[in-house]
Parts: sequence; C-alpha cells; structure tokens
Amino acid sequence: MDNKELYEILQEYADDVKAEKESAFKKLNEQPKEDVKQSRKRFKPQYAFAIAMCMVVVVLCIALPIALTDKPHGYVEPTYCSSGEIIFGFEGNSLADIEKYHIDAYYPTLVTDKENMAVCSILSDKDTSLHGIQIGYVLEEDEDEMTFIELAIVPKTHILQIYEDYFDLQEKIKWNKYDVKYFRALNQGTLMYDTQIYFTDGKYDYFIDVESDGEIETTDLLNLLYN
Amino acid sequence: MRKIFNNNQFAIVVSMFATILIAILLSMSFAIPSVVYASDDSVGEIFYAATGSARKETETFSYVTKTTESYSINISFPNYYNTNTSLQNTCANVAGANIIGYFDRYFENLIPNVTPGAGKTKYTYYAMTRNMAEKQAVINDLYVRMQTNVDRDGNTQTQYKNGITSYVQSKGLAVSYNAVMTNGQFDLNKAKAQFQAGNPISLYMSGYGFANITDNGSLVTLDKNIYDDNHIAIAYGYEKVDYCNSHGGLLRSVIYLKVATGLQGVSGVYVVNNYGKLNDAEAVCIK
Repeated sequence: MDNKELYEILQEYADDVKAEKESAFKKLNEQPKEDVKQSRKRFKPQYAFAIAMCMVVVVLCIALPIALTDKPHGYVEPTYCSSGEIIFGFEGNSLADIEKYHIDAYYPTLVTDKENMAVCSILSDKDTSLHGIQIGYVLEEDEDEMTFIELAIVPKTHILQIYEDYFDLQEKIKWNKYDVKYFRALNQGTLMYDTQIYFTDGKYDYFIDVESDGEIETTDLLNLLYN
Repeated sequence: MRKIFNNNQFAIVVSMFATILIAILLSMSFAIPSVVYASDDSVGEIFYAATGSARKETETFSYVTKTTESYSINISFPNYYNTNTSLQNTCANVAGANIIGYFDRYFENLIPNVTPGAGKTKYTYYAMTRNMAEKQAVINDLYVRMQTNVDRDGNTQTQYKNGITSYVQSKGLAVSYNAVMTNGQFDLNKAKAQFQAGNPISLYMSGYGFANITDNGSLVTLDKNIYDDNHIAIAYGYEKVDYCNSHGGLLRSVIYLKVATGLQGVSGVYVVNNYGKLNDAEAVCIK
C-alpha cells in the first residue's frame, strides 16, 4: 500500500466519522427543543390559575376573619361554655359561703332568712374551675305575692350559654352608673311576671332572672337587691 | 427531568389538593352538628344521661284563626336542678325529685322539713332556692336508689321507676305508673285523663327541644333549645292548638306540654312530635 492509497482510506474513514458526528449532533440539537416544549406544556395557564385560586382561598380564610373583627388591640376572646359544660354547686345560705373564692364583684346587699337564700358556685364540669356564682332569693309578701330572684355574676372572661340571650335584651334604662338592659312579660303559663336584667361593670356580667306575682319595675328590682 | 404525571393527572391532583384544603378550612369555620343519641344496653334499655348542651333553633308559621284547649294539674310545678358537683348524669334523679316535690304538697313527709309551695288563690311551688339543701338531699337519695352510673352513664327507665318506688315506699306510701302512649305515639286522651287525676307524666326522650312561644295573633315563633341526648322531664299540663287558614281549614294541630325541664336556667314547653323521639311517657301517681 502506497501513501496515496493510505490517504484515500483515511479520508474515507474521516468522512464517515464526520457524517456520524453530524448525525449525532443533529439528534443532540433536537433533544433540548423537545424538552423545552414539554416544560412549557406543564405550566399551562389553567394550572397556574388553579394554584393561584388555592392561594387566594388560603389567604382569604386567614385574613378575612382578622380584618372583619373590630376587637380592640389586646382583646382576649372569652371562653364559651355550653350549658352542658357547667355545673352548679350549692355553697351555703349566705355570701360568707363564697368568700373563699375572693371575687371582688358588686354584691347585692339584700339579705333574707337563711332558708330563703342560697348561694351556688358555677363550675366547669371538666376541672371544676370557677366560672361564676349564683345568688338566689325567695321573697314572700304573703302567700299570693311571691318573688323569686336569681342573680348570676360571671367574669367577662367567660360566656355561659344559659345567659347569652341576656346580651340581646332590647329595653334599656340607666340605673346608678350602669347601662341596664331588661325584658319583662307576663308568663301566661305561670301567671307570674318574668323579668330578665343585664348589666356589666366591665369586669363582671350580672344576669338577673326574676319571677314575681306582681309587676315590678326594673329600677325597683335593682334597688331591692342593692338597697 | 422525568415526567411523573401526564397533564390530566396533574390537573386532578391540583383539584384534589384544592378541595381538601378548602374542606379543612371550612371545617374550622363551621361546627357540623351531630345527632348522637345516648346508647342503650345489651337488652335495649336506653340510658338517660342528659348533658344539657343545647343549640338554638327558631321555627315560625302563620295562621289566621286558632282554637285552643288546655289543662294543667297546677299553675306551677317544682323545677329543681342538681347542685351537688360530685354527682354526674343526674337528669333521672332530678326528674324524680320534681315528682316527689309535687306530691309533697299532699304528703308532707315526702320531703322532711320542707313546705314545697304556698298560695290561697293559686298554689305556687317555691323555687329551688328555698330549702335548697333539703331538696338536694332528695336528689342525692334518688341518685343512690336509682343506681345512677352503676351500669353505664345515667339511668334506665326501669332504674328510674325503681328508685322512685323505693323512695316513696320508704315514706310509707305507694306509687303506680300508667303509660300514656298508644302504638308508640303520645296519646293525648290518656294524658288528659292522668292530668285531670292530678298525676304528672314522665317523658322519656331521645333528642328533644324546649320552646318559648311568641304568638302575635297571626304568626307563631318557637324559639327552641335543641338537645341531642337522652333526657327525662316531667309534664304537668298540656295545650292543644289547632291553627287554621282564612277558610277555616286546619293548617296544623300542635300539642304543647308544660314541663319541668330539670335543667337550670332552661324553661319552655315540649312540643310533641317536633324534634327527636319520645320513647315513652308514663303518669306517676303517689297514694
């Protein structure tokens, strides 16, 4: 084999290799274009829209309740207690029986004989923590002139289901320094007047339930309790 | 990068994610009420153990004319409640104490040293406040006699009646019970006869409501406290009202039962066939 023949063989080999190289590069050059095309398919607008909607829902669910409440800064939501979550505990027949709880509330001054007065603690049924106190009176002018009074004193840190309707009482008066709400109606079933009274001193809520044979003005009832 | 999902699968995954997320957020905002009546024992007896947890509902309906008939064994009735914090599931005990308190008017030694009420023109039962310790003592006594919470939480109807019977017999008196149900339904005619005989009726309820009624002459509003547990309350009177349209046609006939709810701070009437199930109703007579 002379040099010319060797050159021709090498030239032929080089040409073959070049052709494969070009062919290989052609495939390589086409591959990224397909990848780019596929990547663009994954981020179609409807997916982006679905994800955006999810984010909007999450943001609204978190932000709206916060934005729409007008509670003052530092406000602590009271603990809500359903009627099944509280129990009444008989403590005794005078206010002295609840001194141990050290509640600095606005106590009534009305005193009756012991059998006609009862003081109860209002406790959590879970851990027997104190949720309030109840003071009850039975007043009897004569056999046909009775008045039953129950006053519940509840710290504003708690809302008790059995008293929550009192917050919506419509009638209003000013008594001493307090804004008092009340409702009074003749109960056709018992033929006694049912009166509900609510006021607050900012620290405690005062709920008063009265059943009386005679119709008694709200101011007179409050004066009777706090004479 | 290797493809894990095709386009459709990816869309489904995103939709499921969004749905689950929204469901979780909504569940935080709304409490879904559940109706779970208290359990019964292996022989099918229901245990009455009211928790007293209520939800509010309001129902309204209109009418043009109405006709009413009513009767009560007395204008008022004892409405005692438990004030012993060491006792749980006391609704049967309290119902029994209300029965005892009612008959104490006629048999003075049923509750020692207690005058249950007073009145010349009308007899009014005193509130729980008066002689609270003595009334609580009756509830405590019935708690033991009824074997409350011994088998399971609360009491069965049988335990309730056995407890009352035991208490009454211990005072040298006798007690009888008469059903006022017919084919599983409250029978007003039987109830009327018992009320007219001066006998209160024990209501055994699975799911119930106590309603305060407002009637402005053409629109009735029932503001109800609804409960989804088992409870015993005492009926002491009824009011049957037929509500009619302008042509005199009957729109609805409603039976309201006056009740001692046994729940502190809860008053109102029991509306028959309005909510829950009345399992049984029995008049109680003490002689």
